[in-house]
Amino acid sequence: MTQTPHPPWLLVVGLLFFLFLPSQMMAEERPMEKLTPFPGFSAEWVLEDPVKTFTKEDLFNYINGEAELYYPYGFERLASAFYARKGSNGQIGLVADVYKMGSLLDAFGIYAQYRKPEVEGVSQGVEGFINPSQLIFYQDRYFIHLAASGTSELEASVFQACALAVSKALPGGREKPKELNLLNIPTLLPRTERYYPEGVLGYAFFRRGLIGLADQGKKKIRVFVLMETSAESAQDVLNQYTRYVKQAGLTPERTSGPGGLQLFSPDPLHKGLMLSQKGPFIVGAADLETPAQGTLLVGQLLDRLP
Amino acid sequence: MESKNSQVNRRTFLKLGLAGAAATAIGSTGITELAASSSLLSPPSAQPVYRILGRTGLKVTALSFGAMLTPEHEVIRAGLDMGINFVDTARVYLGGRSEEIVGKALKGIRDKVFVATKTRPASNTKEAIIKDVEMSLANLQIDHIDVIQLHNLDSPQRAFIPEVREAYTRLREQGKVRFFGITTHTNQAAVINGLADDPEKFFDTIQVAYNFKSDPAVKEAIARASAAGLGIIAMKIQMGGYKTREEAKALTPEQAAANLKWVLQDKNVSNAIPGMRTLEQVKQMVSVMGTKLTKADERILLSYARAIDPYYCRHCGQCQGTCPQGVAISTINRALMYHEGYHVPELARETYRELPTQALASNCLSCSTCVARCVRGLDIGRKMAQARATFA
Repeated sequence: MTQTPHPPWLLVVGLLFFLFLPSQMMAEERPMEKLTPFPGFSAEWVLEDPVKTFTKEDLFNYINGEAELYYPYGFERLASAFYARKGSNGQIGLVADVYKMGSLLDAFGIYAQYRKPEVEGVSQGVEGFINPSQLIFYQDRYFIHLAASGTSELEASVFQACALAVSKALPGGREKPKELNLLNIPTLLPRTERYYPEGVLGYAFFRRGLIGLADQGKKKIRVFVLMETSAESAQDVLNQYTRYVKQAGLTPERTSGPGGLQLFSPDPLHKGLMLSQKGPFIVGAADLETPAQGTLLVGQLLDRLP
Repeated sequence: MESKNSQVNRRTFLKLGLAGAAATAIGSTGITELAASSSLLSPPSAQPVYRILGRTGLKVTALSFGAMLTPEHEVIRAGLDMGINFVDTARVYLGGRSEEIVGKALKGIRDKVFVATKTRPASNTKEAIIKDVEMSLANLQIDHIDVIQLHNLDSPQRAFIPEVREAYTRLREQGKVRFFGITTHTNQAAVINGLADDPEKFFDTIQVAYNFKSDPAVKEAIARASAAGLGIIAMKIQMGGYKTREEAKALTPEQAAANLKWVLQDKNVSNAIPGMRTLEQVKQMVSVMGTKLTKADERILLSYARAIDPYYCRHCGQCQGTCPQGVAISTINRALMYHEGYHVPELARETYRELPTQALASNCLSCSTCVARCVRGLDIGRKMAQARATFA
């Protein structure tokens, strides 16, 4: 039986597919162990032991209870490499931890848990920061934590060299999660956005969303976007919140604002809360002392929605 | 050892009384007062139950707050307003942010709350430990820490390093810390016994992963340590030790309550510090404080254990090598767990694919009498058949 040769167009299509295959898909196949530089990231810093990997099952063994923080963000695997400084007898090291999370948004979410607004940024990955004992960044669906070991401080250049090597091995570019655009109002303070896959503002019924800080002169106000799967479930969330504050003996009020109806209520945890729904989204502002403080912000957030 | 005190819960009762009267109209002023008067910050009929934290003599609430996972300081504050008087965090949690969050929750009530935190696991020199504590004090915005803990001991040795003890002693002399503790997650019984046998009685508390599935050796070690005067702080009471987020997620409120009751029915435990992320969780846990483990709770615990046992392989590895065909039983069980328990088929397949061909479940001959043995009684033959069907 003779084999039918592939038609030329199929080869062309195949080649084009390969060429334009998203880098993320190509690199997905790369084993986690190969995401950390081997045999080192500079002549001075070499891999000391085989790269360790951890899964959901045994992440606790490595970072103890903090593992709980990672699971809602879709943690899949961790590759951890220890690089020793030459001549230090393995006493001075750098630990490179590469976490594979559920998505780009999840990687951002876990990264933002560690970030403070005043951090010193780095150029690796989508976004990152550095201090004397660690460098942290995220790229694609990966969260990277480089930390000094055996010493409380390392030179910035050492962290940067390792971060660069790890970044090159990872898929993805420098795009932030598109969801962050939803919070991008003019007064949003830089590096204050966070993503919570559960319990937004400490309420279980606020299931998933983004929070940021808006600058209102002397006061900082938390703005947020809750992301539901449908308009019906968003409405259900609003209803749950209304029931919750009523149970607390408080009286929510409906007012009309720039984007339509807004719900304003004193809140047991967050002073005053203003909420407005559009489709599967609920936008809002917290920590309000008067409804007027939230009206403009909520209107701006509504404008950001698709 | 244990007492109830309704006076300390005065804030709660005041709020209950005020809530109805305050809910009139929302004006441009008074929102904060109105919100703060909410009765939702008061769990139904909850009164704090206190126990003594070993030789520290601190009178701590049996339910205390594990703050590591709580992103909103208001949630911690709500717990403290409900009467919880002990909060635990660590220098490393969230890169220091956790301590900052706790610090915000403590504003104005520092004198009513005991604060515990931890030096970094890598800090074993005097200089590093002192620097850690100073950083923690700055993050927490307080002038002293009630219990400073050596983080994550897997053997007692680190607790006996002279330089570590010198640093801790120095910090106490400076008034920056009051009592010393350690935390342990692995090799716990050995660590606890090592501390219990310390002739110097240097450390005052031990924080230990403890739940109804804990090894009996840990329970015995806890009893020994408690008798030696150490305060026992129980963590991972909601099966954190089971290492599966999904199981924790599947916990019903009744199961979570039963877990807490089980831990607190052990009078050698001074307090438990479950992580609580939402107001709902705080209220639920607070309402359990002071209630007893019932037969119904025991049934809940047993049914939970039964529910996870059939599919939960502990990966002890003792089955490895017991199959004459060389099937990688433990790894295949892990892949199955990812598939069935975690619902992450990609990860399951990835794990399965990493096995050498000769170790795959397809090599299981389904012998009429499977000679491979699981020390916990898992039906290995059935599991391999499952794996063949799943990963075919």
